[in-house]
Amino acid sequence: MTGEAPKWRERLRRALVVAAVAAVVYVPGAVTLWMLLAGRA
Amino acid sequence: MNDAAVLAIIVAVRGLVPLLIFRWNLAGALLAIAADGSDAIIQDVLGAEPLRGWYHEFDKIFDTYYLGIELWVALRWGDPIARWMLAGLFALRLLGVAVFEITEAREVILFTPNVFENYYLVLAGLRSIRPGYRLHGWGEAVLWLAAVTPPKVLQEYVMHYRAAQTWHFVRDEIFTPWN
Repeated sequence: MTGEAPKWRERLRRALVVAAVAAVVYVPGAVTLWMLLAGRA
Repeated sequence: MNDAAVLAIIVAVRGLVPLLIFRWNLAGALLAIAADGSDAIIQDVLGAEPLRGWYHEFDKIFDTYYLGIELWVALRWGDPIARWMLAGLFALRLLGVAVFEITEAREVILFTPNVFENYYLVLAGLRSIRPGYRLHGWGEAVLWLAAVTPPKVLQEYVMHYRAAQTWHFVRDEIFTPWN
């Protein structure tokens, strides 16, 4: 049982890393696309 | 708060936060990006604009500072392909900033986007998931480049070529859409 918690915690950490990198790489581009489409750029 | 105090806070944030990259390659880089975006917010919240009239020069200096730290770190990853890619992308960006400062032609920034940052983040993320991760070949290196370039080009186009106020848009449309 002692090995279970670190395993799911590591999976969660990896998921957070992927989410954070994807957000930082793609969200600003998405926001600027939104600005363009909204006529605010 | 007066201009000097606000400037001191902004310089402290932008000068100290990137040092975290040395210890935490990915988390430090993410915090450095947050610090990069914080100057406009700090000015807004504290009601002073010490960077008025020279924001772009100030921003470029501190951008180059934290990206330089990222390059320094990446050169020590022991990944020869990543080293060449990141050194090339950093050099391209540095050249773009220098030519822009001399010519003031905004197109230059558009053609030399800060892809280095996105590329570094992806590799730092991969290394965070799998310590010691290395690019397997130039094919993989080019694939990652193709994945991270379009959003940055779009961002550079709107923020620097069209000179649109991104923070004001986010504040008005996302944080306070009821206003």
